[in-house]
Amino acid sequence: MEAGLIAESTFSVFDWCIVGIYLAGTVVIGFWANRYIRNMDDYIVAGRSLGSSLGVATMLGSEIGLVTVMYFGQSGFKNGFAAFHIGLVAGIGCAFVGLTGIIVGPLRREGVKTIPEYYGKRFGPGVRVLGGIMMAAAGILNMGVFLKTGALFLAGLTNLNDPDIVNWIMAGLLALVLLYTTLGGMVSVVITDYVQFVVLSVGLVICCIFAVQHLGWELTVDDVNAFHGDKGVNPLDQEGFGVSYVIWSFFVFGLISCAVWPTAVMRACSVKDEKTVKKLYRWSAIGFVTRIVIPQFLGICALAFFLENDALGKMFFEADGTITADGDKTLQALPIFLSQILPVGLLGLVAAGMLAAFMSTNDSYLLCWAAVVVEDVFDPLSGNKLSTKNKLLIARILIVVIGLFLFVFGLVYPLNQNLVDYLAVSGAIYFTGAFAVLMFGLYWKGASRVGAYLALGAGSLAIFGLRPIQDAIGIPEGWLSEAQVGLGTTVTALVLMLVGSLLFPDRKILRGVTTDPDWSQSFDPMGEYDL
Amino acid sequence: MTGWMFVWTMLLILVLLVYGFVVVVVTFGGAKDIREMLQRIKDDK
Repeated sequence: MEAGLIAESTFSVFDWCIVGIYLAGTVVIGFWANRYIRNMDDYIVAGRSLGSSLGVATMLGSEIGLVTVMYFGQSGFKNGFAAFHIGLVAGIGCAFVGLTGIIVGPLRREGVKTIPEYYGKRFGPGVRVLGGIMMAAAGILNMGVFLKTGALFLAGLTNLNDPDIVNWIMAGLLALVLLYTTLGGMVSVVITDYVQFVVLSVGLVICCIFAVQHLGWELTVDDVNAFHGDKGVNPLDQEGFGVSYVIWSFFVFGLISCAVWPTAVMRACSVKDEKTVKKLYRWSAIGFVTRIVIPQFLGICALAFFLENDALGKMFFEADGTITADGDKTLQALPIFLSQILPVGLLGLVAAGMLAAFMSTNDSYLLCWAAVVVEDVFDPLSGNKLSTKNKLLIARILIVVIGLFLFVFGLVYPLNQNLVDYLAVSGAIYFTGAFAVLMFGLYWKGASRVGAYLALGAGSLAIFGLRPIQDAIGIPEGWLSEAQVGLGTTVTALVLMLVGSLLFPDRKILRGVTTDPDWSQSFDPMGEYDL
Repeated sequence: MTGWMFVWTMLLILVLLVYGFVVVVVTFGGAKDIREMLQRIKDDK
């Protein structure tokens, strides 16, 4: 890679040994945890036996991933201190969920394992199947760029110049994830998440200390302010983020990512009781701020570092002094910066922590999407006749199939927009509709099945926020932002849920219908189900 | 220092201090929770 040809990394054999030992350890945990798997509850929600500390560790272990570090690092590099507003609103959103228990409290009370399972209880199996398909499709699409991002990180940090070698390493890591996730399910996921949380958290804090020690606080602030001007500190400045983006940030990174995004909700459903759910979110609020602010700060330090270093800076700046529009290069700014400032040994620890974080995110996501497809699509369609053994077998096969799809998608998809925007928009295909269905379903008795179908379907409008789709239908660049598409889709889903429910109310309320073992035998998306 | 810059500086300091504390608490609490989780699953078998 071009960047690697110029920047000399200090990544040594000793660092590779640290990475190797660490990764081997996670596979051993997977094999060992397999002894504790007895049924689907153990596999998906670890027998609903997580305490609050482990819940916090495993939630943050999944949410602070390598991809998270990369895209928030890119956001800090490109936008300066103003990007911190995302962390601030995310923390406020998570604390709000922890204080009120909004969405996650009632969901835990329902005793469901996944969000579509709730759809089934509330609106019938047809909504459950549609919800499961939308969720899995959006989630897998969302995950599609993870491998490529991981490869860019590794290339930047280790100075590996051959893209083929990097891709093979990433494929190897994916294989490791598949191995221990298929074997150990949620029990191995929570244990590895715990270890990864500890290693990565300590690693990130040490990186910040080294960055400030290397550059100095005043130099960093002065450089970034001189480069970005007011838009680099004021998130409301229309030349930078602007008001619509701040509202979108609060919605996506505050409310959605902790109360509606399935991997987070799955954690909420794994803890002992509703009280623990609230406690989990209150404690996680600071983690939700941290997972955004620390990578952004490192990205800001990277900007100051490359502004001070003309030779290396050429990789990231155009001739007119602006930041390059090449997303791959701006993503690599953070790892290349770290490779320049961290000493041997520490570089290996950070790499191990980051790669572990990469695995941690992937294992949770793979398990989540496979569980959704088995529990919310295959099982209802088969009339709830799948045995536990068959469910586990299908989940394990699906994890491998999704893994292979991700590998191919990562190689062919042209990521020509900011990574953070790609992730928000692809996720919006699911969460805009889900937000409407959950809010109305949980808090309004009048919410109906037709409204739920319409709201979930409306989520698909979010694909118009993806740059390749905009290019294909001729929408000029800058004419319709990701935030505008996302907010527009959210409002549309809410309105359709309300109007659909008012115009086509359910004649009978379906709550508790799944306690009847025969409920799914008459599968009919629009039929009536007796209590 | 502008108003916004003051807010972001305080946020960064707060994040580093509180997160450091959370990491310590969760590290020790999480190890205890893992032991209890595995014991509970074992007992249920």
